[in-house]
Amino acid sequence: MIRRTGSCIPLHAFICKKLLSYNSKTSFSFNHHLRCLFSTHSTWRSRSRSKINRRKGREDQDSRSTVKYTFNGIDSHSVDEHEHEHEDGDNIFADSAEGAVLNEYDSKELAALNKLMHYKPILPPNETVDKDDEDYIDKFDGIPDEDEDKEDYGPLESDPRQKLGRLLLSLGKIHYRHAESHSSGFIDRLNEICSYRSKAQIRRCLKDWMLRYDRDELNKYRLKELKWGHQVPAVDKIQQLHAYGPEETAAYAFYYMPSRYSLMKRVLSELKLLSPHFYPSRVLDFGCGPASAAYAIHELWGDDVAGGGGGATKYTGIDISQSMIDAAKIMVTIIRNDDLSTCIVDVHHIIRSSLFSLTIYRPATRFGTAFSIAPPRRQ
Amino acid sequence: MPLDQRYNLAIASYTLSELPNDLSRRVAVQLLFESLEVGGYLVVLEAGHPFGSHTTRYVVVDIDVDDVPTDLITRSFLA
Repeated sequence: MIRRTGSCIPLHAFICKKLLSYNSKTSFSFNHHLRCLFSTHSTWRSRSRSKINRRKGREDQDSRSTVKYTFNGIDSHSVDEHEHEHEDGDNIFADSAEGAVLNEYDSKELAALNKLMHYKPILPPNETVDKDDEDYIDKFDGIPDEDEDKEDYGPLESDPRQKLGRLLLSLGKIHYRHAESHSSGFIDRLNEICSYRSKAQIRRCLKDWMLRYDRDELNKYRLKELKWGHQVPAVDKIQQLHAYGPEETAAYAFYYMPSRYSLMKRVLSELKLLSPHFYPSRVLDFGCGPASAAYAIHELWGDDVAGGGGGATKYTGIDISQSMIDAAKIMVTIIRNDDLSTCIVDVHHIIRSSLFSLTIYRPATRFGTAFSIAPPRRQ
Repeated sequence: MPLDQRYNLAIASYTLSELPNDLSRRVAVQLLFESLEVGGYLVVLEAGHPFGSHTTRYVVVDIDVDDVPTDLITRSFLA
């Protein structure tokens, strides 16, 4: 429920490469997929993090670990051994390996951190708080401001989530923060999308979403067995659908779009690392929303066009909601008019499919026997 | 339809969790994988809660079930 910009966001991302055609049956790596399926989230995260560490090199690690461990006098060589042990926990206080470290941490600071971890603002307050008021409690009293003189974090400095992200960064829990990677052009377009509805409307819509959010409903899936082969369990209850009208689109752009855009950018940068010669010449975005992926592609591969990247990108976005598509047009048309030399996104369709089902059930009729699963049971 | 031609990169970010049921999720993944050309990439992005993992596990299962030879790179990030 914390707004997800700037703090740590666990996320599942799959990048599949299509190597061969359907006919040839080679290189079916069963064991690998089995490992993917049944390993827990945390082990995969630690594995990927260790890979990232290896890729990033020792220098970043050392600089981080000195920030992290200088206050209790552990040198940076022992840090590398410990690091893999306490990557698994989500809560930074739950780790036993770090317990000894955190005991020396001041209890006041821990309490302040705890407060921050459970801080749930829906929107940042517009009115300025009078600090001379007796009822006013400063939530960040115990937290040391180490980096305040060194770097300028912009207008969001007073935001507690920004402080939390900075603290997690200094503890080494996250590597870098995506909230800072937004370019000014992206924020301008975001503000333009948000400007079509008032703050009160956006707030009302977000409140509605927050009330509907049900953690127990999500936790039902934790216990669900995933069997091999065709016996995939069907979900009993049909999920409640979100309808994105104009208000919801503005609220989405305000609340979800910055974080999801930056995550998309992160995943695509991983893809760029994986295959440096790959160039997305034709892109299909299923459920594009306000076309933040187009902007991420523009930012990542925009400079490669002059260097023979392989022609212009054709971006095809499909979405069900008309207002989302209007927002996508705002995002994308400015990219097109930006500069012709760096223009990569040539939008040849952003399509409003009247229903997703029209699009996605089409191959099901073509390959009628390909999906031999039981229909979902209602209880 | 735009699906008649092949694509280089197919993206579904936070879309599978918005679909109504598991069947449509599986069909969508199949459709997206079909729409790729050889050497193209499919990128599926979901949130880190159990329901997100539920939807993304369907990606792996669906692509494996039909014996599609893939070089599958699976990562879960802490971003």
